[in-house]
Amino acid sequence: MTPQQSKQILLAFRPWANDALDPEMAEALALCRENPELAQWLEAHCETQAALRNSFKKITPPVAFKEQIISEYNASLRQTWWRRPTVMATLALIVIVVAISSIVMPHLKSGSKLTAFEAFRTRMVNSAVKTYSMDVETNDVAQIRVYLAGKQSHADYVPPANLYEKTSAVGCAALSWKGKPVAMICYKTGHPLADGSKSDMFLFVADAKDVPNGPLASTPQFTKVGMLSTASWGQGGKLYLLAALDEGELVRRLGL
Amino acid sequence: MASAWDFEGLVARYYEPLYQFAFSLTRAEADACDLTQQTFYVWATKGHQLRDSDKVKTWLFTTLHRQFLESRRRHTRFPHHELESAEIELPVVQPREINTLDTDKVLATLARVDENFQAPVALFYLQDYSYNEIAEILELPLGTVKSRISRGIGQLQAMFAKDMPPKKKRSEL
Repeated sequence: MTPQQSKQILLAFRPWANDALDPEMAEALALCRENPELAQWLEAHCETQAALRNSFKKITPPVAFKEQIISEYNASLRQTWWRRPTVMATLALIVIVVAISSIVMPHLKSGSKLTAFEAFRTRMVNSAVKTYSMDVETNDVAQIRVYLAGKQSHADYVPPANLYEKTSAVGCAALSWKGKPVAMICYKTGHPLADGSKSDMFLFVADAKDVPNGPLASTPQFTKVGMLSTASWGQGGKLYLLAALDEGELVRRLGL
Repeated sequence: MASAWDFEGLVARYYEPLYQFAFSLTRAEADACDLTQQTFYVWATKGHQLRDSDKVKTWLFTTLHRQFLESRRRHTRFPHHELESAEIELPVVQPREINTLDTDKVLATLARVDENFQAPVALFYLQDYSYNEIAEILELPLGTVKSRISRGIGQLQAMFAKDMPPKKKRSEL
């Protein structure tokens, strides 16, 4: 290694760092120890390097720069909280759940969906409880049948054998369900009536074929719907639904 | 692993050397602040990907340098130099003359050095990084970094020598 080569290598020598451990540097430094002129140059060069380093080290950040970095970071966190991994994961989970629900729920709904008959029964009970009004108010069953016949409704209905025991008709209405006629005959059982009520038992009659899934057998099926008890059965191609407050009352009327 | 660093602790430890490096590259306080802040922002968003916590400092310096290069690319295109074929300029400046210079003058002179040499030279003076670490930060081969440091220092000192008034001989005093 010549002195000139040694100088070129030692240009990048830093007395404050571990550069002397570099084999090439070590060889150049060894040459300096043998060559007084080179050693003098190295001494001056190291002083220059130290002075330059000192100049670089005098660079100082603006006052409160550290606080500014932290403050702006915190502000950006508040603005982008939704980008945090945990939030993103939660949002992704919600999206997945919604997507799965949109696929699965229709099937669940169809599983829990009311059958045509159940829907019919619920609708009729609601009619009796909330919105019913009689088209004709009379205790004359013949008039009721005439009225229903005039409305192309079910004038030929067959009431349970014991229905009129201590019970009287008070009127009727010609209803419809999905465009098909439903006859509603209202009765009074003799029990005290609620204020404003004119009847406390209702017989609904529809064509069995107009209400799919309805009972076909003549043996009544009892079901509580809301505040009313119901009994439903099939007879002569018709569907009968009897509703009253008390199931015991129904049992008695049906002669069971 | 890297998440073991809390953000405030990381800033407290590294904001000053990062700013010094940024300032030596940009020579403008606002630009240096932007670069430093951007570096910590990148850390906040991507730092968790760093597996080795011992590499945090190197990662920060590398990120800052990348940000600097990107900002430069937006403004100008670097002239390409065949570094390996260039001659190394030997220093002819005296240390006591360097001592008379303030930081602004030193950085202004650094700005006149070949752009490819500036970052290696700044890291060379500012930090105690080994050449290997400087190469890792600047994402350059070790030989290239050594060459750029030598040439950069040579250019820098040659410029100082040129700018300094010639030293008077004792007989002239």
